[in-house]
Amino acid sequence: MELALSIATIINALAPSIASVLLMVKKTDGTITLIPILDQADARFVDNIRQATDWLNSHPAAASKPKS
Amino acid sequence: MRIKRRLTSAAFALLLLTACTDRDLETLSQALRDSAAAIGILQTAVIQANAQGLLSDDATRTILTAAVRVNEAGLQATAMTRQLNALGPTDRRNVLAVLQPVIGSIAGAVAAVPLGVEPNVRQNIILSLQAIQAALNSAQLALAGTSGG
Repeated sequence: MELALSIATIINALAPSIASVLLMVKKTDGTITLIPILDQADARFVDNIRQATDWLNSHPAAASKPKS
Repeated sequence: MRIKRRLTSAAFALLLLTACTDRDLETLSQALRDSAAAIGILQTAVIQANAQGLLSDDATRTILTAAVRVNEAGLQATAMTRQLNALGPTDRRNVLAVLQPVIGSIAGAVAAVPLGVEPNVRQNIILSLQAIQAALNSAQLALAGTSGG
């Protein structure tokens, strides 16, 4: 585990392009978990945009205003 | 065994050099992920309340439009963060410039929740908005270098 953490830290410091993955090295109950934090954030932001735009497109502003 | 020891020493030296900024970067990444999750919860709550007739189309539209802006800024911020392995002063300014306007828009969305809405629905929406604001504030603190790093 120590070795894995060392390698991850070195790669993280030397290779910015994969820093987004290796930043997530965590020790939980003596184990190492790699969580792609930024990938998770990106996927969620994209899903959110899709969900919101789907609703906005299906409920255009003019259509919802009552006509008197 | 020898390689392991050398790698450990090198890693320790690198950690000493980069520990503070890396912690801020990690805090920022986590704050972005947390805000994405909180926005998702808010959007679902708002859309469900609208479908049940508990929230008007206009109020739903206002909140979802603000949410889209926050999501887009979040995507921009993650794209910028992905390129970094430490937060320099310029990086901090650039990411802050993306996030600060949407932090304001969330505050505006909170104010847009109509008072006439059923109290439980209103409370859920406001709690979700506050969770987003808390995550974005955490990102802001990391960018300001005051998150303990």
